[in-house]
Amino acid sequence: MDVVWMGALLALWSVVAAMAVGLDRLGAPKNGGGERP
Amino acid sequence: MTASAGSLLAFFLFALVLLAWPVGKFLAALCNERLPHWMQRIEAPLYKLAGTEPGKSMHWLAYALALLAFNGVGAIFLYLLQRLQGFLPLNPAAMGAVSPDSAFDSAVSFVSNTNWQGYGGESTMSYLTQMLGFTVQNFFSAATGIAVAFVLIRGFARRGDGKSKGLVGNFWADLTRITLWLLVPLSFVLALFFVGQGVIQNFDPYKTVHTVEATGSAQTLAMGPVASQEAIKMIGTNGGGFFNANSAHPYENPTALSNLLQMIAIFLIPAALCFAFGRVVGDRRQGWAVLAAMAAMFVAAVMVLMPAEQAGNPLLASLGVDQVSSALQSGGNMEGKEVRFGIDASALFAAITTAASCGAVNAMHDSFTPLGGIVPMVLMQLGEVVFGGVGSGLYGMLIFAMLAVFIAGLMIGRTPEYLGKKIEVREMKLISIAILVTPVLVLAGTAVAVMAGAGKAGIANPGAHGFSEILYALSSAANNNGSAFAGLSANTPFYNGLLGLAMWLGRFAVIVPVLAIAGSLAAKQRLPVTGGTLPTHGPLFVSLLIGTVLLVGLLNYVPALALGPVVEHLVLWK
Repeated sequence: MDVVWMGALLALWSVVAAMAVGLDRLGAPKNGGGERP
Repeated sequence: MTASAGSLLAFFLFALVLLAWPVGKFLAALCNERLPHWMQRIEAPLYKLAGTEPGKSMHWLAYALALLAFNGVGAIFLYLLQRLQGFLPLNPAAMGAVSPDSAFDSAVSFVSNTNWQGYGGESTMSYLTQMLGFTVQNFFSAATGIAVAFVLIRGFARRGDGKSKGLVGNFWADLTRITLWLLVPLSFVLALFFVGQGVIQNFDPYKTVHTVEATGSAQTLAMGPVASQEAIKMIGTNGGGFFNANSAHPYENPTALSNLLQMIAIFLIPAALCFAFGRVVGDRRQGWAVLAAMAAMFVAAVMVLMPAEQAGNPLLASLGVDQVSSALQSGGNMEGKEVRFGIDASALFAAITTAASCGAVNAMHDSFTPLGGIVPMVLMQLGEVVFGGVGSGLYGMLIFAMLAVFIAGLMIGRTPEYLGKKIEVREMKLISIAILVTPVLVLAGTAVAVMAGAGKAGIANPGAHGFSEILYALSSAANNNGSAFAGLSANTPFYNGLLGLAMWLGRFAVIVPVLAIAGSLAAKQRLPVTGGTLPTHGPLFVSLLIGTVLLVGLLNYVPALALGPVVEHLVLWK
């Protein structure tokens, strides 16, 4: 059972870490901020 | 409201402002990273040991990932500590391993500053788990919340130019400084005061005593290092009691004076952070405006809660029970309240502990009248922004302030700006996420619990009150309060899993967008005040802010409240 509950902790951690990475891209220019080609 | 209740509230607010002002001044220095030289010299070896450079400011994403890594490791450590406590020292009562689901729930609970307790402390946890696990997390979770508030304040204060463009500070330095220079000293002083009042602090085995009745039965008195946990429990708005009865237990809260200090300690840092905010952004009136909005909502809540409890129970009145206050009795609804504190101090404590995301209790909220019970529930559902948790209260309120200027901007047709920073599309998306996370967790979680067999199995009081108990539990967990309505048997794999999920996402899925907003603001140039700038320090803005909090925060929950406490109130007073 420890594997299940510690796995749940890691899954929750991964969700918010992924959220952070995703929000960093939210609203960012799609071409990476450079000149429009 | 009686004269004694009014006097207690007035004295509490006066003492709070008096004590919060100097603390706010110090918090501003911490936020500005302007510490005296001697403090920096003491810190230096710690940074060297950790291999970090305190002067190296981070991008918001790096700050967020450092924060998440630190709290993730803390959760795993706390989980393992509970599972292995049977093999570890400082366990005179020979407590065995905590069950995996309960260990998960408690690990998330203390790391997220919620301190929801599905367990009874004196019957489950060893002294080592209480001290090295829960007390340590009380410090770190509080420091985490304050650090996030610092980052958001810096986002407003940064000029958005030069080398520091978009950088928000160093997480490791913030965490160290807040813990070392704010939380530890305050907790040390408060713990000594509590010991003076009679709070116990020992490593003794539990004592067996014989009661004074003629039949003379034996009773076990739990011991332990209580005062050291009690102080940070209040200062850090954690709320997790050493004992199951929390601050209703005479070893945790022995006197009327300790009760008053506990209440002031809960609001001290949230109020002080408002003053710090005003100082750091260079306009103290801004801090006063936020504090005024918080105080107005708090006073209104108390003015509903206290009379509701003083009014008593009409069903008892119809049976001829005397519930009128007199020299011989406190009157009103005394069920679930400590006679040492009475109705006023119990009702005020309930409002404070739920307005702040503390969750300590000195009375059983489940036994409040329906109207009295709805107030703590609503205070949590507003998003814990009425003073709120340490750090989380201020950053939550500043999110609402940005939403308020956005709404005002729509009404007058101007690009909204707050403290010289334009609030644009990216910020509004992030604000929406930050505000909507907790209502989704509360309402979806409640819906799942009332539909699932495992959820309904925990209800002790079927009907509207059972629904209120579940709604309260989810509101408490997702808003990181931690107080319980009691009556709900929540120490089951279903509730430990559901509430653990709500606590984790209610904490970190809000912190992440708040940090993203701070990073976005820090990169923006601060615009000068012009004739078209909406003033955000006057009564008009305070009213707008209160209206925004009430409309956005409360409207989400009106249908759910109607199914629970509102029905109970109408049934009781029909």
